[in-house]
Amino acid sequence: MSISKSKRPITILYADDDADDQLLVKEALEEARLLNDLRFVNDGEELMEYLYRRGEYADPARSPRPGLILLDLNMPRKNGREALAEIKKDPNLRRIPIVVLTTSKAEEDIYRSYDLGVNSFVSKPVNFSGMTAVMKALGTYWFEIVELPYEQESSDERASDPRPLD
Amino acid sequence: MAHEDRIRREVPPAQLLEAAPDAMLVTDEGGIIVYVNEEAEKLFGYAREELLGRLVEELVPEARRGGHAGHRQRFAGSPHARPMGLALNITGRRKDGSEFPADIKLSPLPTPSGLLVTAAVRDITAQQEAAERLRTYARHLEQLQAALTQKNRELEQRNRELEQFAYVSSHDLQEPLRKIVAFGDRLTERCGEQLDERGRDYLGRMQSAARRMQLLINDLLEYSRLTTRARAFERVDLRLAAQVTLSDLEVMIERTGGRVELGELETIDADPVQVRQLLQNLIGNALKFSRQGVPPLVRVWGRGAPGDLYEIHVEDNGIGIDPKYVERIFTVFERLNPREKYEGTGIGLAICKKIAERHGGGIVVQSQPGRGSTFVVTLPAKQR
Repeated sequence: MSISKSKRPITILYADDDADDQLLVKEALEEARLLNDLRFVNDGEELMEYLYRRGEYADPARSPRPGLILLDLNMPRKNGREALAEIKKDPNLRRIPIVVLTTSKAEEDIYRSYDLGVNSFVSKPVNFSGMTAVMKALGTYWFEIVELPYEQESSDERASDPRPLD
Repeated sequence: MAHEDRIRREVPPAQLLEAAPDAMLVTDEGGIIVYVNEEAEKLFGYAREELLGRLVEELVPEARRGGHAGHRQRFAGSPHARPMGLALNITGRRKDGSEFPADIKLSPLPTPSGLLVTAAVRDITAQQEAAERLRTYARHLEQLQAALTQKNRELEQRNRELEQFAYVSSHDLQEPLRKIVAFGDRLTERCGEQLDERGRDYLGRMQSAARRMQLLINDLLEYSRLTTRARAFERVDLRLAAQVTLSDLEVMIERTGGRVELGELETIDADPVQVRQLLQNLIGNALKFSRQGVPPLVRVWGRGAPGDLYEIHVEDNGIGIDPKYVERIFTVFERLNPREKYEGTGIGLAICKKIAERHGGGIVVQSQPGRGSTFVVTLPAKQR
């Protein structure tokens, strides 16, 4: 489970400025027995820095390409909508599945996110067992059921390649 | 003198002019007064003898005499009847020098010895005062109306702000509450064993109170969304809307062993989402508040009402409502029955009322305690 073809656990990158939710998602993943490599960024700016391997995320070994992005919509500096639009416009990033995880249930947020190319829109569950169920379902769906394009993850290649990530 | 002859021979029968309600003056072509009636004496304050033989200009204020003579000469040049009410702004002058606004009707009166002119003069002081009063009232009314319109705009604005406030605050309140519930869950699961029974009981009570607060905030959010997230009105087939509602309520109908009968229901202008919400709440209530051992029987039907209105009736055979509470049940979070017996936060009917009012309609209930209730929603059949 949750192990990619290269036998390395798939990295889940979770962008949310809310430390409580970061902790809850981490515990919910554990509770759901998903052994994924979970990493956090605190806003859209940091998310883009990670994906473009800038600053502290420059080392691909320490900041592996995520196989799934969990994205909060309301964040400081650069919000989830802006980050989503940028990622889906970038040919090298847009194949990474993105799941919006937000407190918003507003119709316009749902429409807008799908228009921007989000892969799923999930409302943050109101209790912990709900959060565990969501993590279990996301893991099953994205890491077991669906076929994702194989993204090569070789640091040698990347070193000579100016494009972000692969 | 010629005019003295005319006084005797050519004036119209005096009784005729005496009968007129207005002051009557007859002049010759030169403007010399040859006849006056009693009303003219009273109006101008002269005795008849004082007026006869005088120039008619003596009866207008000095400043206007030249103008008046000009008018008179033009009239003599092309004599024609000139009716009253032409607002020529004529001013009369009494013997004592006081002035009054007058209306005047002129008629040419040809006689063998030349043209005479009959003038009927009416004091319009009272009329003008009344008109002025009316204008004052009208101005006053306009000011009041403007003030009311302004107040109304302010109230609408205040209302929008309140609704927005309710929406934003209930939305933002959800956030910390979600954490309380989630970490409460973690505490129960991971540390519950370390607490004694009393501690676990406290924790359980906190958790259920927090969950209840989530329900309340959710309902509040839903309630405020009725106006902040309202949709435009469109043609809504009420029968179809009721059928969709029944399929949404299928589980509840099965669980209660109830039956819902749909009668005639037509198409009206409405917000489709809100109409379904309205029907769902009313039919849901009808199923929920049933009597012990009596399976709920709910009838939903509609009919046109005078004034292009449409009534939707939802009848049940449930526990009914004590008449003294019928006003209160439409208030937010008002409940008549214990939570343990009938679940819910008590927002359903408040939502129904708000939906009806947003459509320009209303909701009432008729009930016999222990026999059943009928909720009647009246909505305009057409929205402008």
